[in-house]
Amino acid sequence: MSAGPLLELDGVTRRFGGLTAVQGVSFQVVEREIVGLIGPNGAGKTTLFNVITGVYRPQEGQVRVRGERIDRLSPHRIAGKGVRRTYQVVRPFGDMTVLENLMVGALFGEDRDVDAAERRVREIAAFMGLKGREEDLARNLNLGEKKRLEIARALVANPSLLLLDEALAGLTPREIDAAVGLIGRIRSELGKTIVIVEHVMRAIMAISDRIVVLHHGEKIADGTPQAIRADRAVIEAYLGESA
Amino acid sequence: MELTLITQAVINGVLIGSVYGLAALGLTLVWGIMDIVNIAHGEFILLGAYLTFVLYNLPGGGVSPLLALLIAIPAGALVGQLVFTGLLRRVLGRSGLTTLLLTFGISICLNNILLNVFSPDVRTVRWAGGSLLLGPLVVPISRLIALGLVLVMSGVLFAFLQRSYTGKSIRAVMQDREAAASLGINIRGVLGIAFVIGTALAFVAGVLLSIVIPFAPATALPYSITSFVICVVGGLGRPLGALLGGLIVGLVENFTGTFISQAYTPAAVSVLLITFLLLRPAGLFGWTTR
Amino acid sequence: MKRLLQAWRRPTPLAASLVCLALAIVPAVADSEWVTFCITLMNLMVLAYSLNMVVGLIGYLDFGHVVFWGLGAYVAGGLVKAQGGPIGFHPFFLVPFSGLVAAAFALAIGFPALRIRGAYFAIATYSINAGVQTVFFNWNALGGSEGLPLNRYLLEYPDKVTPTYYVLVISLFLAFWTFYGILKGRAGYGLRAILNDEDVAQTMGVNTTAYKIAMYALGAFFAGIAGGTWGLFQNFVDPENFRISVSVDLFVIMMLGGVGTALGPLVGGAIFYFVRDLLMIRFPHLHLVFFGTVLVIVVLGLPGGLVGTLREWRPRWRRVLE
Repeated sequence: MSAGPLLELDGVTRRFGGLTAVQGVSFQVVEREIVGLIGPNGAGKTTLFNVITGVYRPQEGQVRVRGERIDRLSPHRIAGKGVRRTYQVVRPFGDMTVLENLMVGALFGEDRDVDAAERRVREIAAFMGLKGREEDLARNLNLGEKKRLEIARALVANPSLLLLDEALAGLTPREIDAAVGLIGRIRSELGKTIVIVEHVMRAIMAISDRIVVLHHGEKIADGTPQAIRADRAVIEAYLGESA
Repeated sequence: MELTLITQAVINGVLIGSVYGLAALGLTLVWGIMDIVNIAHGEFILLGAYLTFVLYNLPGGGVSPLLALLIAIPAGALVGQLVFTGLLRRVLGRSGLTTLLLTFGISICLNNILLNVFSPDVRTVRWAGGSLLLGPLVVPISRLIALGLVLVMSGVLFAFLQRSYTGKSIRAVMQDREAAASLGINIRGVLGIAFVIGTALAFVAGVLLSIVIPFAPATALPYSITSFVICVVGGLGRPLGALLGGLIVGLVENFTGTFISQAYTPAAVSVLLITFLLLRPAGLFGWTTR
Repeated sequence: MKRLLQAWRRPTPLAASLVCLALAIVPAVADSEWVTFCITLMNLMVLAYSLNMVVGLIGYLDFGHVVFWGLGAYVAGGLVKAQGGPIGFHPFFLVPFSGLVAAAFALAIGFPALRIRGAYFAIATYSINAGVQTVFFNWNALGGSEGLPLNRYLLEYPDKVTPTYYVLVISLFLAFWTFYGILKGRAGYGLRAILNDEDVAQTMGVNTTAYKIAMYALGAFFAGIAGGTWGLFQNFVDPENFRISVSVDLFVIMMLGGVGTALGPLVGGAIFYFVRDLLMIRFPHLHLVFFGTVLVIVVLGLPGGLVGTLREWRPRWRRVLE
């Protein structure tokens, strides 16, 4: 295990024209941690993910993975450092089968060899409950299966850091409980570090070691779920939105 | 001497550019609203040109191009309606490759039908010959009339888009299809009307082009390319951009032709296109994303 | 590599290899008309594979692909002329240069061009082709608008047919195996990911820029080879080598056969050529109308082409027809 944090955001700022989506955000994530990222809509959570994965470059600040600066690298290079994500609105490769989708993830992750990749892919597919669906076209899956495919596709690359963007949205309560259990196992059995953006409060409170709260692009709180639940600024931010 | 040359090039560029702009208006409307690039656009323009030619050369006096213009509008609308309901409607949801190839196929068919009916010969409609002579500058009368008609037609189009309910629906769908749908606008219907208007505009542009420059089945592709370039330069779905883009292309063509060589005009237009695609793909007036 | 050797046993590569073998025997058993027929056919097939690499594998609509064919022809013609008198070695050894120059050109324009997507890319490639055609139209040292006859430089090698034939058979074989190897390997997965969703592919570690440029250059290489061979075969190069109708034909072939399939170019090429030959005799003026209609029908009804549609029909056929 390395000494420093796995992921570090240091004063990250990202603007779009006149709009500041993310302002001076700093926090750390250590290995095998599950950090929840919450905040009202428009708080900048997905933008932050996009900055980490290299889709956007921050105008200010740095992003570091294991101490190494990644904010100036192209998306595929950052992926090469072991960072993988899922998308808010699922984006599977629709015209490819489940197996083929996962093979892309594996072949461009850790495995170069097609046979080794296929073995890993079938294991992860089973772990994520997609066994038996390997030959089906991705666009024919239901939402829950597509969400699991998104996560599986990220996992087969054997990433160090997994970014989950609203993986629970649109799921039934039962599916949510199953997903929460699955995410926990991804950390405990596969040893992954996870940052999860979520709106389903009870889920994220249950699963996170720590929670970072964003509001209007700024970090307003950073602590354990219990501390966050009691934090005034957080309550005001949420109440202020709904009032 | 140089000044005369430059001024003449500007005059030529503006005159022909205005007609180019009108030609591109229909394309930019369709492209902006449906994200469909109508490769057959050049052929539609040609249809308008040949329509004028046939009417003008009818035995017993022939029909004036001005009248042809009025006939071209419903003719173009009809063709547009047929193509939309018969073919385009079926591929609305599909990938870009599909729609491009569809219009590609239509373009090939139309071009070859025209080739067979009218032969590859170059045609003109010699009407309103002669030119105004302003000192050393030459201003062909036919082009001046064409400019006037472009202004009239553009004015009508703009008024339609700004004032009428249909026009506003078209603009709404272009800006935000989902929002428009939630306001109860019939998206399919609006797309159809946009395509019909686009085709009618192409026909009208064909009428104007026929009295201004020679045409033949082989000129369909250059018309298409010119219209595409104008759409990129002006911005998709931006009528004002199309007109301005037309002027720019007209000027580029004429300056290249005057000061370098007529043979290099296609290359110059290509350079213009690639420059815009790399530096400002949204065009002059286009919406920029990210 | 091991997998590639195992691939011989699969139906698709086996069939393709047999086709090449059959083609190789033709000159020994058939008359010269058939030989010429096959030369034109193979030229189209190699070109179809080269275009399939760009359109089928990375999904970019290359309407101006013929520019590489034309460049290949002019490179061969230009090199032959530059030598002046007798060359000293067989001119067909120049053909690889045609391919390399075309690939180099693709690399040069690929970097800016491939950042553009969809219809814009199609128009840009069309423009580039038109631009290059203009350049050669005005290049008087290479014949300008009249073209460059090569006869006087190639008097030592009167038989163009035999070398053309065998260069094309080899090229077709290589084109197929290059395409198939890429399709089935790691690169194939990356390419299909790019095809489905380029942005997501990037965040999954696929170096999309490298892949796109590599395929564009590879496609250009094969098109250049076909062009160089054709120029030498015809003893003549002229700006008509950049005519857009070649691109039209290629798209029809690809759509007929199935975009992105390994068998598509073979199937599409054969059908297209036979039908066109038939039609040209009966309806010399209308055959393009026919093909435009075919394109429209295929787009509306058979988007996957013949091979693609058959694959969707029965899952079992999906494994057999690739």
